[in-house]
Amino acid sequence: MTSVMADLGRLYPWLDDAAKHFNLPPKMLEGMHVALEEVVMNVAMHGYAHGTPGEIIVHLGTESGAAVLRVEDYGPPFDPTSVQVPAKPVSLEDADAGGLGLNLLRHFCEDISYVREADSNRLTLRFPLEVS
Amino acid sequence: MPIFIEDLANGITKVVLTGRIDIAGSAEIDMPMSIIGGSRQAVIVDLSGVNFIASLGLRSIVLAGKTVMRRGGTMVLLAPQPAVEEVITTSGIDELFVISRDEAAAIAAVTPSPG
Repeated sequence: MTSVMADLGRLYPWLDDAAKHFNLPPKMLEGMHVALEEVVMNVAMHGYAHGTPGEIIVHLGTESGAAVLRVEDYGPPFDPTSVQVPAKPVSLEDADAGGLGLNLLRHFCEDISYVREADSNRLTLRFPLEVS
Repeated sequence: MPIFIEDLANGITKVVLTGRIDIAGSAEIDMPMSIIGGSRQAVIVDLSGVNFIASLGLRSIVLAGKTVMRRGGTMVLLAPQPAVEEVITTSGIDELFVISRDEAAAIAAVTPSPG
């Protein structure tokens, strides 16, 4: 899909279908929805912010006891795992409304890895299948 | 439209959000929420019908809440479902807004104390 709004709407029906295929638990799927939205919004708002919409490739699979979401884009290098997690806002004035996403992403997916490969960003989110 | 605005007694505004406040839903509530933020004093945001929200949707609510409070008003959140509340708690938004369990509590929370 591409990073244009209308295309991003296809994300969730696709994820629900794919999750059904792998028989993923509903609770995991809820977390996946949040994590995926945060990742894709990052790409759409920062990676492809200045210029024509770009390609985002999303893949769901399973491997060694985990469901694995992979998100790939061709924007400038951006490693969300290297960004300092912002502290929770202590007052309304401190709340950087845009900076909430990384907290959410890391809460709903504890195992995130990033590689820059040629001209693409590849982010891998692992969701353990065992109840932790 | 995932947003519906209802005027209650005593100048209280209830904003009812419904469904998925995802990327598309956030785009729809963004403008109405900012208008509410700039024009209302006592705002209850009813989240009971929301089954998904992430940082983009929270952003609309936080920005509106900031504006209301800067103008001396109050905004509270009403009855989020567990999955939505987990997102709210994780992001720390629960430290910024009162979360009421029922409408009576929400009305009490946004009503200025006499005197």
